[in-house]
Amino acid sequence: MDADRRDEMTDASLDRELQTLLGVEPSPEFVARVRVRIADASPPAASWFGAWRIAASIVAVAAVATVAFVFTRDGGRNAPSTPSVLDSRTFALFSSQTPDLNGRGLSVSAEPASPVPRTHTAAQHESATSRAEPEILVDRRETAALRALIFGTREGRIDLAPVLAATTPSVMELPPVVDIEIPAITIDPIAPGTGGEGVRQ
Amino acid sequence: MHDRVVQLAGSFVTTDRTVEQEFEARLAESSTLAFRVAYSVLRHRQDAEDVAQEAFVKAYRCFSQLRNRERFRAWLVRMTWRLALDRRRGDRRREARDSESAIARDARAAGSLTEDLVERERAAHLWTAIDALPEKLRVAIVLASIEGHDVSEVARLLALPEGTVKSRLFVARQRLKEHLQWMRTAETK
Repeated sequence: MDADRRDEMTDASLDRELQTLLGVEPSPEFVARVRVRIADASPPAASWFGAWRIAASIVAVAAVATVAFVFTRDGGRNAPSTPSVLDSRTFALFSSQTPDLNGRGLSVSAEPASPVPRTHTAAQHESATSRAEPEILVDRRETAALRALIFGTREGRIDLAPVLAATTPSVMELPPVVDIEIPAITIDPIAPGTGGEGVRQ
Repeated sequence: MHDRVVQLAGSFVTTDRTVEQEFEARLAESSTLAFRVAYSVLRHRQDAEDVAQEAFVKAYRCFSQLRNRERFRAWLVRMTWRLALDRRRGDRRREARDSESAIARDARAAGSLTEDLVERERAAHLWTAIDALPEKLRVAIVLASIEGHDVSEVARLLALPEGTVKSRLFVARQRLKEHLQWMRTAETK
């Protein structure tokens, strides 16, 4: 009990000594100096707001750039269905110039017969098409025939009126039926052999 | 539209003023705490003031997250302690010089310790005993001795459970007593 009391007193005296030791006051100018340093520092709200605003701007610009990049890339990939390519193909078939009947066959990847300036989009499309789809080939003779027909029709060299006017005959006149004469079939009996019946030959 | 802009700007100004006033209040009530925490590590008045200033400037820069009083004080104590340790580690030579001369000088300036040589020696012994404590025990006993903080206040400042703080204070006191007793016994002999 006495030992406990002595410990308690020691604790109390220790605390008093510590309080005395740490009870040092700062100089009177201390707070004023802190105020001066804080006045030199940037205000907290403004700096926080500014930093937040800058970060938001950076994120927004990055998002727009990403979206633009993705759209541009996807646009190039989906080009096979774009009308620019179809235009070039159509132009090749319906050009006003005389077709080269002895020329090459037409294919999707082939250049048009006329000297049409190729656009960058068309070139991109062709390369994209060659990557994405199998090449479709049309027979050269068929192509030449079609071109000749089309341009001949345009220039009046070929008249399609009879073809268009031609109709399928309503009743077909059949030749008279002639009976087929089938001669009677006669079967001759087989001549007996020289040996007797049942004799091994 | 113009009225809205003026209103918005006015609200920002009001917010800034409110923040300034709140920080001024925190500075007024916590300046001594920060100084004493720094002093307990550095034992040099000017260095302690520099470190406390630095801690206040850092607190001001992120004051938007520290507007709660308790949170501010806890953050300030931890920041000051850390900055003081950094300063002390970076200036070992000064520490060696201050351990003898500065204590006596500060004691005279503060008037808390008498001119008596015995008292100064006791203070030196106490500082040595405090330095011998592990950091966890040291910060607990220092905070408990500053401004009469009780266990719950120290627990809040250190963000620790009260039981942990209580046990650390107990162990710290025991070790300090043993150390002081040993030193005084050795001196007597």
